[in-house]
Amino acid sequence: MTSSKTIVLRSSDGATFEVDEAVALHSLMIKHRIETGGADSTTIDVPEVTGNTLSKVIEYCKKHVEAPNSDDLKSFDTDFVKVDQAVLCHLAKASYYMNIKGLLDLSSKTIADMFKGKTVEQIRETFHIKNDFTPEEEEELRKENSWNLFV
Amino acid sequence: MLCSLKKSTDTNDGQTIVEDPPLLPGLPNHLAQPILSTIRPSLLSAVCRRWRHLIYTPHFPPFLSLYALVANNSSSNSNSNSSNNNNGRSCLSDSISFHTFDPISSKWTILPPPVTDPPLHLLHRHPSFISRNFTIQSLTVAGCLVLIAATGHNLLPALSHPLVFDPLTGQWCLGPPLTNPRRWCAAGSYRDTVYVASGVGAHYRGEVARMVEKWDVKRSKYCDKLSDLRDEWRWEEVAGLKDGRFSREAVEAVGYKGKICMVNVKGNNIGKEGVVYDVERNQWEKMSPGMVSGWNGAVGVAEEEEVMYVVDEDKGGVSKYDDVMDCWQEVVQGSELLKGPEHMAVGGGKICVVAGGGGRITVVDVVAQPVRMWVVDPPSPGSEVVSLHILRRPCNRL
Repeated sequence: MTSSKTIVLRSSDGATFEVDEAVALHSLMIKHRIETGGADSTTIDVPEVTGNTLSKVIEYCKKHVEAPNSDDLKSFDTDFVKVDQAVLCHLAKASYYMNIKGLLDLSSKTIADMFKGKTVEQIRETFHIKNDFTPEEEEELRKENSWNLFV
Repeated sequence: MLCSLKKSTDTNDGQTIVEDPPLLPGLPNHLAQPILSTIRPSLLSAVCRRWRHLIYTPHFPPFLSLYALVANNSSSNSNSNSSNNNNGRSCLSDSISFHTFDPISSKWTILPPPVTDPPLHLLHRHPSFISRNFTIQSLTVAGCLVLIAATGHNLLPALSHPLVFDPLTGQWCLGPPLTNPRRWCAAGSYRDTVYVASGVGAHYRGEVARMVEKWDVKRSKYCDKLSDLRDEWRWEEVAGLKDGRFSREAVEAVGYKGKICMVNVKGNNIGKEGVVYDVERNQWEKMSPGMVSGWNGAVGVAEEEEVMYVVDEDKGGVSKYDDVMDCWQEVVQGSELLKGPEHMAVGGGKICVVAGGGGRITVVDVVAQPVRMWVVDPPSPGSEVVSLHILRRPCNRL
């Protein structure tokens, strides 16, 4: 039953990765390409994703396809996203492009969690956001009730 | 970036977007928006202008705001300003307005009034009736504000149809015609259905005093357009009351755990009686004694959490109802700020109370430890807040 068919994925920078077809199909975008591409589509280009990111994405798919019910899946996911912010953003973009919902949700949630417990200033630092309020606007902001009515 | 280019035509807020600075550096905006949507808007609004703007766009779930129905009462008022329909009769004050309080900017904005034909004249005070106000009853249902009963200039029922304000469109529309328009009634809502019971129309009629009707607004998602649902709107009669003892004055009914609950007189009155309507079984039952005895002021229910609160009229304390023990437990000690509660709205983890004869809005955060309380000033000094509602912010008119 297990076909040992493999697919080659090629990143934007020309790196190639041979993966089991079952693992590749975890990406709905790849699945669609295979289904519509004809019998000889064994190499699929993924020009939106660089080699480094693609390698990580494949690692994620492998784990989730080969051991979806394993007890350590949660801890795998937690450790998987312990990466720096830039990598996290690349993972989010890649998972969107490659249509891998689980990874998109995981990376999005990880980014959202980075807001927790932070002050406004800390948020600006973390996400490299420029404070573009004028001093007058800042003064108004300070006056606005910090008691958060419903929000 | 390719992704953000694809999305640049996708916005539906009427602006042509060129998405230059990204909301979150490193991510296209269509990925950043769902992430930011999970963050508290009050936090986002303080970080930068773009984020502050975002929370008011359709890309961000509309946050809750406070809505107030306000009577502008000073008789000197009616000569000078607003009432262009007043004929210079300075003794009547019929200037009712609707306002919304933006919790981010802490500012009140006036809402467009309902436009009806004939124009709406709601009586609140009248010189011949010095000791009492005419009630104007409103309620919240399916994420909308509904005006359900009031008295008009000619001392007849003012509303032939409920008037419905939908924050999603920022506009008013008419509900289904009332079979018996009331000057006051018992009114409340539960799970997207309005219940109207008893009360008095132009004159007292026994059959109206016993009648109970419901209107299922049928809105399964807050984004459903009311205009699509209106053809199905109608009042249906349900099991009636056994007598007219609930017709004496305006009664606020609340929906709580599958039942519509109401008490027939306001406040701390020994003789008061309560009944509950079991929605599923379509029958009325006596209210349990513990619930009645503690129903001593304004009552409201936190819908999602299914918790009933009362603000005690005399002491200004807040209690919540324990339905297992049939008793009320104090959650906030008596406070001056809450005495004389006229009306309350519960939502977003807060209890908002109209107190001090309508001149004060006090907000209580019952969840916080220790309990926090603060005052929101009414829209303008000298105005009287008649009722409060908690709904999503009004969406920007295009």
